Amino acid sequence: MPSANRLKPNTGLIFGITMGTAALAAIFFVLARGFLDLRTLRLIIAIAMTWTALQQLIFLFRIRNIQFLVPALTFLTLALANYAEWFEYDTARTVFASIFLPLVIGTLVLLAVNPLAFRSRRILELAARPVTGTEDGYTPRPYPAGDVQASKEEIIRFARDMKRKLIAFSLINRDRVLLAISDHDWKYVFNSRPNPQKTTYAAFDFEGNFSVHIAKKDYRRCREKLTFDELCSSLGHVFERFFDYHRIGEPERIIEELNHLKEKQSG
Amino acid sequence: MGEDAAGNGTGKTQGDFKTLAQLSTLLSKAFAEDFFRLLLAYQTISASEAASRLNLHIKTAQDFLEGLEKLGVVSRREVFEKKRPYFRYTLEQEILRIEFDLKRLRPDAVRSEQLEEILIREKKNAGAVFKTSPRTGALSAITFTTGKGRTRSERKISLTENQGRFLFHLPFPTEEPLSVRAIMDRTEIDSVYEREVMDMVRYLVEAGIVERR
Repeated sequence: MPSANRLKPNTGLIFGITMGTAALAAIFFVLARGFLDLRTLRLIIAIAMTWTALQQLIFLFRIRNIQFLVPALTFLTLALANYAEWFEYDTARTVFASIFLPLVIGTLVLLAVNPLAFRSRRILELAARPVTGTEDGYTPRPYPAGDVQASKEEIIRFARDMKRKLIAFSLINRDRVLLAISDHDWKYVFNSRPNPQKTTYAAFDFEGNFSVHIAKKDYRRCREKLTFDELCSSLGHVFERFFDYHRIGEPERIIEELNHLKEKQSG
Repeated sequence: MGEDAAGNGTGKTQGDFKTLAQLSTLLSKAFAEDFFRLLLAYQTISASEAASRLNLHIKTAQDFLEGLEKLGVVSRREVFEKKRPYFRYTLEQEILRIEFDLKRLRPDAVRSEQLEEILIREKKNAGAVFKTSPRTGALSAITFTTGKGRTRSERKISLTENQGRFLFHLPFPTEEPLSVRAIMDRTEIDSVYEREVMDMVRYLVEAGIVERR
């Protein structure tokens, strides 16, 4: 079997750290230069934290994963503490500041144990691993991956579970279910009509037929030009396996398989 | 134009589709009915006489009469009465009947052996974009470009439901080709749709989207 890491390195994290560092540097710069006073900066932080808390709550309601409540409360508390500072409500400020620390610790522990992020990259890596051919042959068509003997209710339950467990974002309509995977899964929280041409997904109709589609941008993330039909077939097998785990009442095996992949990559 | 057993002009067009189209084009002109009234009233008539009588440009009248002459509806003879020779036209057919069997245009029936012999798959780097229905995921259209450079143009072909189902299961560029029959069996497409499916297969082979062995 080919070695681990069939996908190119994830530059998103590096970008995020760079932007975060730049933002901190900018804050220190404006403070040092006196362009903004600390009080105004606190108000800006409070507004930003309010927006972030709101986002977490939207994720909570859209994804139905209660774990989002922890970061939502954390950001909300931080926002309220800064508002209290702005309005000079000393008592309120003390209260919020005091409960902020436990919430932060709770959030950090939660993120360490179970990061609140979709596992799209790992799914693609899992699909790419068994592929040996490198004939390219990319096509934007969906690949008919087979069928699952399942009722509509089973398929919908599976889809909702995939979303709740942050494995794939499920979009359910009258005729089928789409499980979208992407580095930017969060966009589906706000946009429930993704462009099928630009989305990597597994689709299940309610007669049990299922197909997969790999977007070109995700195919380009492979280190080599893997034989495309093999890659699609492999992705189909991944989702077929996940569905079987779910159906036999062992959905935790899905997370185990994805976590096991992460350990292999780190090891 | 056809003739009955006595050799009289029956006015029945049994030519090819092109002849039918040409006659229909002439008859559809706004002035056609008035022109035929004139042809019935006059023993012979020239293009300039008809044009002046019907208030048409002489070229228009000339083209109309020449078109009818080619189809045998009128005959003409050259006369040398005036400064320059010209043609005078006489109506030959007083009854016009248009008959064309559309079945003559029907594509050849697909032989069963053909469906098994023709192996196809999508061509590598064909550049086609397959539109899928957001609701059902079925293939509904194909868009591709034809020509090169300045003559490059985009074509969008809408697919019938059966064509969409067929193409959904078309082997990928790196898969083993499958016969048309195998794909139709896999998608459970009824044999009455064979012509429709083969029409699209032939078209896509010509367009360079599908590869045939």
